[in-house]
Amino acid sequence: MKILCCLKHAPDSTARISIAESGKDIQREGIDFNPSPFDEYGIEAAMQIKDANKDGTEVLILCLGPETAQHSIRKALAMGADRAIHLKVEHPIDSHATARALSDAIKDESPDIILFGHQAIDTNAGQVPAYVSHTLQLPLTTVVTQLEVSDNTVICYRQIEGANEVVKSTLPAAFSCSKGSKEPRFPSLPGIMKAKKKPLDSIEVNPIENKLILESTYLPPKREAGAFIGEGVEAVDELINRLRNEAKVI
Amino acid sequence: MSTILVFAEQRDGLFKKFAYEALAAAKSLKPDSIIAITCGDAIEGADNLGAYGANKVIVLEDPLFTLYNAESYSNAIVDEAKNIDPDLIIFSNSAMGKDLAPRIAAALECACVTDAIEISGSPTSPTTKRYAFSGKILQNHSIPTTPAVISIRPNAYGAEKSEGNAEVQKKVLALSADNLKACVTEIIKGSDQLDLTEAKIIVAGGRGLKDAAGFTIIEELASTLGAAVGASRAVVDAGWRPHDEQVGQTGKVVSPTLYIAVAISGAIQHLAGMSSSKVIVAINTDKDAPIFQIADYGIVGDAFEVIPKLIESLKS
Repeated sequence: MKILCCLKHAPDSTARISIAESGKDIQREGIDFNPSPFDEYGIEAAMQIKDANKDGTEVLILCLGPETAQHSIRKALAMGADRAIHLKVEHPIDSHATARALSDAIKDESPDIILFGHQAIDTNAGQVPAYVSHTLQLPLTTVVTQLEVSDNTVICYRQIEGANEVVKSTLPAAFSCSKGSKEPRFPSLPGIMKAKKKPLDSIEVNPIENKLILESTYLPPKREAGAFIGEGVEAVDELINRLRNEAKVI
Repeated sequence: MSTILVFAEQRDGLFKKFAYEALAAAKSLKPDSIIAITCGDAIEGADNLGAYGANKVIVLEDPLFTLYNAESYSNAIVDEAKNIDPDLIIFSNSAMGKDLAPRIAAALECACVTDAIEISGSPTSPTTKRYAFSGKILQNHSIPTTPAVISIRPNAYGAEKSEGNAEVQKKVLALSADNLKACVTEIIKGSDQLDLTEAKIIVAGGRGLKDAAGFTIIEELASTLGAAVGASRAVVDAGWRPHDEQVGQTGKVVSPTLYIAVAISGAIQHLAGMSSSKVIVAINTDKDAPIFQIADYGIVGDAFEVIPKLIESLKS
């Protein structure tokens, strides 16, 4: 079985974000970049299938991003993936353009399972999985928290409001992953050493034109710290009074 | 003549508030015509959508639509969209809407903005405002081509009921399940608690509650207020609470009317997920906790003393 995991090299979730001078992008220098967390849930799901399959499962990483994305690719390989393809694009591109480049690369590999994060930690758009699966004419199940493979079928849990949908999918298929019961594994030291020697193909990509025009990027208005109502239980009645009569929210 | 097509979400035959919110977003753009489209089986109250702004409601019925199916729902919506040729298609960014919106955009080969908090401009040339980086930044996009697909964040638009009637056109489809590659086979309900994204009030707890049992007071306060329970990442990672309750960058991003953060210090990943709440209350023993920097009302105190008193006072 071949599993392909799409990976985005994105600002770390703890990064303090500021706006670049252009007013259209964030300041990309001086902050840490790492694998986008939801993509790591996908890689973990792939590794669990690989661990359970004695007959050999190949886990392949596909990452579109700048030269520096190799940092995240090596991390994914250190988690246990077998090889990686790096689609090199220096500047951020929109979901359609990203999906087109990914689809072209995936076609050549014909994986049985394609895994994505359900959205990237930076853009939060969640569109790429739909475009890729549409282009490749594959079924897609989104926001998956659990996934089990048996006999060319996948049974997975898809998170909805207050419940889970149990989805049965044929293979080949695509899935976008969210935080589930299994946390992504930390790379072991031998894993990190091995990752340095694993095959990594770099391909230059000429992306298609963006469909969306990003007009501006800016920081939300700063929330002012409000009032300390007081200390301990004495403050409770005043809090209720403010919520009822000032904020009018209860 | 400008037309907006609005996906009106239903589950179990009843419209969700997401449907009314999406109609409110459409109405704010003052198009010549708003057409609501819904997929389901034995749907009730389609004519009521008129009061929320729909001029016409297309009801697509098939037993296959009883449970959500991405493939058959999108095919049916795309077929209708091709006939109607709308300028704009609006979804809620609910679990169903966020699944459908980019699929429809893919099939129509058009641009898509997900999770917008505001749509302005005109139906034929909309601009959107949305958060990225889970609330750390805002982005404005324009969409130069029609149709455009936009999903709006739940709670960003309030349902607006007024006078109005809609013409209802019911189409009974006869779909076959044979070619469907992925199907929902059952729905496993969680606890009876309200879901975070649907809740107007959220009571969230953090590590300061000491252990899983500490959440009893959070649950009790939530039930007193008719609120949903939220949790910080630390608490979910420790296994005290299920992951679908996590608020923050790797959990859910929420914008309720009232967010009560109890014993949550306010790590940057958590703040990103809730700072667009309308009113924030923080209760924490540490007066220097970062959560107080963004809270509208703060109480410095022990949750195990303050929350029981709060419950008692609210009940009396």
